[in-house]
Amino acid sequence: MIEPLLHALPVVLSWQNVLAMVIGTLCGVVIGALPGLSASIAIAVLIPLTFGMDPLVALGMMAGIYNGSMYGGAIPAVLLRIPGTPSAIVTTFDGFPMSQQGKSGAALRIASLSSALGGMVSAIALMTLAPPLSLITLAFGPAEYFWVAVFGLASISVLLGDDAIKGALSCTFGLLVGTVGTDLVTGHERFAFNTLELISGFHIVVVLVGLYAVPRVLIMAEDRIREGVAAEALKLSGASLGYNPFARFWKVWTRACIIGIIVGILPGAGGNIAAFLSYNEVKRASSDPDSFGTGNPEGVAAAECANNADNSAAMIPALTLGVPGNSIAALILGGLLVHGLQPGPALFREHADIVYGFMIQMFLTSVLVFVFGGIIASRIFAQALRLPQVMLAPLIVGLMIVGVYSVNNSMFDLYIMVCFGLIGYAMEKLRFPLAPAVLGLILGSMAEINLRLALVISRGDYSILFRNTISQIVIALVVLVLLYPLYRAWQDRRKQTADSGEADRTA
Amino acid sequence: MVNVADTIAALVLLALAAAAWFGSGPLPAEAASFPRLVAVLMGLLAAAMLARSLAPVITGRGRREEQPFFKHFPTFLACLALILSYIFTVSQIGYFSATVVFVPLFAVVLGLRRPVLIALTTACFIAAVYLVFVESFSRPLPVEFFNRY
Repeated sequence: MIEPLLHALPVVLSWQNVLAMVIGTLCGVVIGALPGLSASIAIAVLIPLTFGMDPLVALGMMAGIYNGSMYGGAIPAVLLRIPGTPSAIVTTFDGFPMSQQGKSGAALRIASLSSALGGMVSAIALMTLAPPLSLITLAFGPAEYFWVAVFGLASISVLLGDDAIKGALSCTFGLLVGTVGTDLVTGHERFAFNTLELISGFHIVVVLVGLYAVPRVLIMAEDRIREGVAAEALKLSGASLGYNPFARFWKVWTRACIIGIIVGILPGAGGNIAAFLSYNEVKRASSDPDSFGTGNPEGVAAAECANNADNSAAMIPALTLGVPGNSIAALILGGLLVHGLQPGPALFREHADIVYGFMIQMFLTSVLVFVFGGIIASRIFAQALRLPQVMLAPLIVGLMIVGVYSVNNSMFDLYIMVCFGLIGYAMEKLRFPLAPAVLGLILGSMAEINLRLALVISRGDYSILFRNTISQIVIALVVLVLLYPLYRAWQDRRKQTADSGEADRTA
Repeated sequence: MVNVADTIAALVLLALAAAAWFGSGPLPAEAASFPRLVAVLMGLLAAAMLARSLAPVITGRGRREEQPFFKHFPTFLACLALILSYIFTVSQIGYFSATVVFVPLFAVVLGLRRPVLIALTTACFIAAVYLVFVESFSRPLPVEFFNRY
């Protein structure tokens, strides 16, 4: 494991890579700080920019955006009680009360230190766990890969969001979109309607930008927030901690890192879940649980450390199996595919410099979060909040157009982007999660090709899909994931019955 | 009360599933099998969603408040029209020329009345896109109308 990392290190430390990581992290912090924008949108819009780049430079920028945005979300969470990203919701619980007590500087210092530490530990977990896991996948054949794809699709569909049916429908929509174009096995056109531009299918970037960025612009416009945040609200105060953070928070960080990494590896769970679980666990273990929610620095440390510990861990199943742990990992997976890099053991064998280099980049960009998370830098980043959202919307449209056009130099793609944008808008309004659609698009071809390959090998005998032990284990996992919503519904019903019984007794 | 938005969404998805099923009819069996499998899944899930959204009518229980679909429909429509016009104008006069017009227009239509901020932000944005996309990465963009001849 050490040798390939050492081989990749000089490449990662080339000036182009370092510059990409620095720019990515800076952009990530600013984007994360802007409510309404998230790492998903930033990565979706910036993937086209990376076409002309070396893959590792592109991945360095994405790693920076990913880690940077997770910290950036803490800035408005602490200063304004507005989470910049969904993962920063928990940071508001204690970050904003600290700010009200005149300790906003201290809260942001704790947030940046905790984010950096969580990110670094998570990157080490990625470096340690991904290579051996990729070796296990050498034992996988087409049937096993088919089931792994089904597992990824099922878990993201069912576990992400609170409505399993809508999650699964979103996934089937992505799968259907993925079938448009030429069938790779028979060469027949599917749903291309004799349109030249559709013969090679929808480009993933066009779909990503459409689904993620266009609805955000429309929603921002509808919100009509014409004023930025007043400069007075962005002043930082009380930056001194007055204690050694390592001595005070090491137990909190240990718990948060373990929770963040486990949640990250599980497909379907994101940084917000990691932050919630970690906050609850730290509160439960605390000698003074009542102080949580009133400005306890340990609450900020737990939330920020866990949501960054989720980052690299979510890439473990993505790089080894092609099954991302969360929606941002799904987008980075899309970025890898754009550069012709197929996840799995071959990625570790044939593109070792890139995959190990990416792991180092995830570590280094976490270090950069600490560098850019200082008081002066946070003060500068907070100024991004002064830009009115209605000014931000046209800039995003301008970036979307230039990015999507440069995919195929095609105006047709821009209109397709708007169509997907309207679908994404409807999905957001109707509370359909977007990530399953993206994953359906990414994993659909993996599922289809491996299913057909398995059937070709067995000459049409479907039992090949169930014979192997690995397949049986993955099928069992799929069944467990699919049964989970029923278990959750049963638990909710039991709780409701118990609550109503309690109310009756009280009456 | 019926959840109207969910009912319509379920019906649209049912129609999409049916279209995918029948649309893959002319294809050879091997190429049609996967889209048809997806169509069946989508159809079943959409039917389940439809049943769920209509359940309050049948059982008379489970009334719930619905959020309006559009927060501000005129702004939504204006924004969509601006995006489409921006794209069309890019194809006619080039990316940068269209951006000079549309970024400020967009901001003004959305209610911003700070000309200096709009002008400065537009100029910085165009400069940044030019430096990154054209100078650094040589990405081809629609040709400007004044460079065509």
